[in-house]
Amino acid sequence: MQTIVMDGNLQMAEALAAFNASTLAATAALPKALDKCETEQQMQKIIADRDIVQLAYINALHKSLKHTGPLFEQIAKDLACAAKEIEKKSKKLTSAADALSLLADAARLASALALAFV
Amino acid sequence: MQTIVEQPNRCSRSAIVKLPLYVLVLFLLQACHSLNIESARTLAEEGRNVAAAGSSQIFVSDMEFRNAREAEVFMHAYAGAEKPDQILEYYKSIMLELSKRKTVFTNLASLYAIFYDLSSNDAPARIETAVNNLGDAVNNYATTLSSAPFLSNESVTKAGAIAHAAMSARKKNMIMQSSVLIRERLHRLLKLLENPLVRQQLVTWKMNLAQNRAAVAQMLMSHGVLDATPLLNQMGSDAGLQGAPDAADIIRKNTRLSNGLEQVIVYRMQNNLLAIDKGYDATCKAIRELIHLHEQLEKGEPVTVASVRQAIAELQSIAEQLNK
Repeated sequence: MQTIVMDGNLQMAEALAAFNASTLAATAALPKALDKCETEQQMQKIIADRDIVQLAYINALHKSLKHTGPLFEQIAKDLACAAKEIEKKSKKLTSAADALSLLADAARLASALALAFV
Repeated sequence: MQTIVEQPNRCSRSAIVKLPLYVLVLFLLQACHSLNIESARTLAEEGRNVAAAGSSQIFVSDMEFRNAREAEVFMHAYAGAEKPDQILEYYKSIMLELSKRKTVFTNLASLYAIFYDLSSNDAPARIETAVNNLGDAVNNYATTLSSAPFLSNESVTKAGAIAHAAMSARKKNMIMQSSVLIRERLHRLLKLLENPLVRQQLVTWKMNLAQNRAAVAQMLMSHGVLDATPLLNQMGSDAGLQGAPDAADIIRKNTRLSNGLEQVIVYRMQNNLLAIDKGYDATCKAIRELIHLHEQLEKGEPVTVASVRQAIAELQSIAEQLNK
């Protein structure tokens, strides 16, 4: 109980879960409820009531996203940085092999040139 | 006498010449820990699979979103109410915000693609060939100048092998460092996904939209405008039977039949909502398994991918259930 009160995230999570449970129940009940209506006015009242619950949920969700957005952005950034770092390592390996290969080519060229002067 | 005097000198000179070679070999042996490059490649592949499966499990697809918005519009028009602009605006804004989070999984997949490239890098083999070619080129040069070859064939081959070993050790070291980098980030991603608020945000949003679609499916079914034949076919499949050609008409005219099938649809939709929860847990489990594989790789232990493959299979089976 203490953790629910102390931890802001958990409190918000619980509230969101409660809002969602209400809106799921309201939307699930909608087909039967609309079916039982005899006038359009009754239908409009039912859908308006359901919208109040739905808006409460999406409003809460919308607000709560601001709390966790930066955390995702940071991880996305870190993953991209790690990818760059690993790519750099891979290129280092490749360039070391390339450099030596170039040296072998140069020696081969030197040998061919030397032949011309023999 | 001379030879006796010279013998120890030759020995000590030879020992001095060989010393750096021994040091090098010792260094290489130390550097060449038991990290298995093939395991790193397999891990990279599994990592990409987890990123793809996890992303589709956690986030709402464009089609799911579009259908849910249209369901919202339908429900209001059906009841004779105005188009719910405020709700639709919120939906759009939330979807936009959540789509940004998908980048995490896209970046994770790219990271594993690069890790795979590093693990598949053929620099050690290429450097061996380059060293051998260099030795041959030097000897050709010596032959051209009518001199004796500088290097014996044996020493050229040995030099190539040493270069290969040195490059392999360097590559393994880089794979090890990269694995640590990825593992640390996976830990943080897992911690974030296990955050109760993050979990509720992603799971409830997906459930909410699924419920919208389910409600409209139920309404359409109750009016008899949806053909229940595929559902009948599934129900009769155990007995090797399929829906009669005029089944749709019969259902429409028979309240008990249409009520029964409507309840099956409601039940199925409820199970789908539960599957969203399970899918989220399965994604976290798959990431946990990936972390474990990284630890195995870094310790030089054999990487056992069975558990992560099972987690991916679980994710795929939940996705199939949701797409039915």
